[in-house]
Order: sequence, then C-alpha cells, then structure tokens
Amino acid sequence: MSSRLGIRVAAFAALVVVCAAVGVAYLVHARSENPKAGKPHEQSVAVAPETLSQLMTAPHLLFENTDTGPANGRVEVVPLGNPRGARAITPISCDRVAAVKKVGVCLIVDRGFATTYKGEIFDSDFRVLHTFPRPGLPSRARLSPDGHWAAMTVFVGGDSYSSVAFSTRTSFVDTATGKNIGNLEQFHVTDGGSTVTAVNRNYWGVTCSISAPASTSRWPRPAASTTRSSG
Amino acid sequence: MSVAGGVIADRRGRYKEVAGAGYGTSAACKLGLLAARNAPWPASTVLFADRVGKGVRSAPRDALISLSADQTRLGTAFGVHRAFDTAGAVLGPFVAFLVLREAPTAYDAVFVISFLFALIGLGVLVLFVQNRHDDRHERSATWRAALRLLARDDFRTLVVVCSLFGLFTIADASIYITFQQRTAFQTSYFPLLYVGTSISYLILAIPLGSFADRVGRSRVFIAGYVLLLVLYLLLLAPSPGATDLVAVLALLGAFYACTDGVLVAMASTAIPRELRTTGIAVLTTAAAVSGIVASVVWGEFADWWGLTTTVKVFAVVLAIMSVTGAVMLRVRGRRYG
Repeated sequence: MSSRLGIRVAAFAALVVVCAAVGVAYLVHARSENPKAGKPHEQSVAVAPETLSQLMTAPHLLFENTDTGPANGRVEVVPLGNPRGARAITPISCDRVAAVKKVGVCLIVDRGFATTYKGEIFDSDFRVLHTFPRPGLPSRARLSPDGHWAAMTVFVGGDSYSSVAFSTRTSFVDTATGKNIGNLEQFHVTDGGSTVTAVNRNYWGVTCSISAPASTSRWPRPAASTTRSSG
Repeated sequence: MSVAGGVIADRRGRYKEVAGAGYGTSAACKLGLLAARNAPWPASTVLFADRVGKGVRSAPRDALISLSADQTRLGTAFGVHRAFDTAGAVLGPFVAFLVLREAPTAYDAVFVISFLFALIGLGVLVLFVQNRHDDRHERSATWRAALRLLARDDFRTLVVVCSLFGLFTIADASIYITFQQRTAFQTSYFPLLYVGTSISYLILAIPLGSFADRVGRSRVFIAGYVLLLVLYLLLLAPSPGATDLVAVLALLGAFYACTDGVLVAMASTAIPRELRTTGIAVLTTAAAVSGIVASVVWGEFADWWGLTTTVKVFAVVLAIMSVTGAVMLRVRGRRYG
C-alpha cells in the first residue's frame, strides 16, 4: 500500500511540475507579447521640460505612441516640419488623446483589481487640470478648435436587454471650468434645420467644425429628457 | 444532468468517476473558452458545458464527503470543503489580476493557467480520493428510487423548506445592484463585492459548520436566514454608507456559511447511503429551480414596485418563512443532527 501511495505521490508531483512548467512558459510567452516589452521601431526620446515646451510652442503633431517598446501608450510630440524624426516623450499616457494649442483631452483605462476609466483635461505643460470618471472603454477624444469644449466618447454595455452589443456615451466638458455639460443623447439636435425626434439616437463620436455646421446640437433640454433606466 | 449523474454514481458506487467527469468537463471548458475566442455561440456552448460539469460533479463530491466524514461532524466536514472551495474562488481572480498586470492583454494566459490549476485539482481527485464502497447495501439507485426518496418525510420536508426559502432569497447580484442603486458607487467595483462576500464565507464556513454540529444543524440553518433578513433590513437603511456595505458583505458570507454546507450535512442524515448522491442532487436541483424562479420574480417585482418596496416584501415573507421553516424542521427536536 505504501509503495502504491508512493507511486501516486510521485505521479502527482510530476503533474504539478509539468503544469508549473507549462504555466511559466506560457506566462513568459504572454509577457513577450506585452507591447511594452517589444522592440521599438521608431525612436522615442526623453527630453528636458524646456525642450518639450519649445516643441509645444512651435507647430507640432501630438499623438499616442502605439509602437511597441517601453514608451508604448505615452503621448509624444514631433515638430510638424520633421514628423519622421525622434519623438519627444511627454509625461502622460493616454488610450485616446486630442489636443489644440493650450489644452488637451486624454481618455485612460486604469487597469487594476477593478478596472476603471477616466478622462483628463491637461494643459500645454501636461499638468492635469480636471479628471472625470468615465463609464467604459475609451472610444474617441475630441476638442473644439478653440479648446473650449472637449468631447469624451466611451463604449458602454447594458443599454439593451435583447443583445450583448455595446453602445457609446459622449459627454461634453468645459475645459476651463471642468464643468460637465452632459450626455450628448440628452441634447436638442437639429439636422438641416429640423429637429431630430427619434427616441433612440446612437452617436459614434463628435467632430467639431469651425464654420457654421449643417447639423447642430444645443444644450440639454430641462430635466424631463433625462433617460430613465429600468432595473 | 445532476440527478442523472447522481443515479449513475449511486448505482455503481462510482462517486469519484462521476465527480471526475464533471470536474474534467469544466477543466476542458477552460481550453474551450480559449478556442471559442469571442464568437458568441461557441462561447455560450462552452459556458453551458462548464455549468453542466458543475451540475454533475457537485452531488457525487458532496456524497463522498458525507460518506468519508465522521457522521457527528458532517457540518464541520462540509465547512472545510466550502472554505477551501471559496478560498480558490478568491485566489482565482487575484491570480488573474497578477497575470494581467504582467501581461495586460494576455487574457488567453488567464484561461491557460486556470486550466492548469483545474488539471492539478483533477489530479488530486484521481490519485488520492477513494470511493466508499459499502457492500452491505445493494445498489438500488434508479429514477424511481429517486422519486421514492420524496416519500421519506424527513427528506421531503427538507426539499420543501429549502425550495420555499429559495423563492425569497435575493440573488447576490441583485443584492449588489440594490446597494449600488441606493449609493451610486461605480459598477466597475462589482467584482470586489463578490470577493468581499467570499472572504466572509471562507472565514466563517468552518467555525459555523462545527457550531452547527454542536448546537443542531437546523438551528444554524434557520439562523442563516435570520441573518439574511438582517441584510435585507440593512439594504433598506435610510442612507447606506461604507460600513453598511461591509456589513452586507459579511452577512451574506455568514448566510452562506450557515446554510450551504449545513444544508447538505442535514440532507446526509435524511438520505440512505445507497441513494446519497441522488438525494443530494434532487435537493440541490430543487434549490436551483426555486432560485431561478426567485430571480425572475424579483426582476418583475423590482420593475413594477421599485427596488425598496420589493426588498420590503421579500423581507416580510422571509420573516414568515423563517418561523415556518423552524417549525417544519422541528428545530427543537434536533431532527437533522
């Protein structure tokens, strides 16, 4: 009996060793697929704050770095005259980003034990001015050309009982005061001069235009239009 | 599926094999989910198979526990099983969190690692667990015998009481949603509520199981529903805060520690050995069916009356049920050990 038990213990030890080996191997493989662990294809460089300010005052492109490597996810800046040159790394990371001269909007996934989402308004020195908790995965970040309004669009689930499909939610904020103007679905919408009265409107995002647009949205109607969720 | 598995396990005395088939199915489903990726139908099918595996494995596993443990300490034995089971349920998401921290997009690694743990668990079952053969009893398990079990007064009472209680037990998710609606905390913290409940459950499962063995299992079982009633009243508190949330989670864990394993310990005294798996399967299936009905009823009521009125109604009925249950289970007579 004891030798039988010995065989069982040995078999179990072997099983544990094999499982541990496979697990570790898989983890190592998975880690190598982490975009931050990969080799960069473009050159991202850390720069002094003064250099960054200089870049920001001259015409430039600001973007989220989706290249593999340690700078993955960082917001970076290149001069407009030399977009293929070295990318200056900024202090912030975003999953969606938009910026105009003095202000930017950034949507972030905060991965943790409970993953949360937020939107931030930052200034040209990349200081965070306002933070807004968001209800879902970042979809789009947009700014009005004068930087006064920021639009944050995120994906949300559970709006429909009948399907598992997601929908989107767009909120406008005043970048100066940090005031949340509200959800785009509660706005009064006109298209070519006539009011849109459809009960369900699905917005995919926002594009701001400098000239007078054909389609406009005005600020929310009073509280009566607040969407009611049942259960 | 659960009762069918029970009949097979009892007839041949093959508890370990049936439980192994159930655990094996669930383990294979981890890889199945990996293969299904995010295609809805294959993924639903795999999830369905995973739940079938759970349905098949639970009764023979509990039967093995009840046949292997000292009959005076059944509450403790099930408490130990539930504590370890729940500890795994707490550690699982934590391991997943660590994996995803190392490799943020590697959801496949989570499923692979979960499969490997399942394989090790299956190894323990196959290599170290022994069937309890009892040759004095002929193997009389049939579908008809399963029905005849209901003719036994002590078993039938248990099925009726547990189904009635089930009808007025608000599902965990509904309790969390009620609390969330009343306090408007972010729904992204929902997974942490499950973890909080599990921690309370795993701490209390053994002490309350052993307490049940000493003071009477049906007393502790009824006390569990009284704790649930207190929880309902907390949900109705005028302005619930963080302390109330902690209390809700602690009470929910205590409720499970008083009722889940203790119920099966009680059932073990009311089911003959040769029908142990079948009987446990019938009881847990009845509980599951009444749980589904409860969820639908809860949803409809909450839609008509709003959450707080519905909680009030459930609380009143649960209070009546607790008294009725105590009488039916003859709490004073220590009928179920």
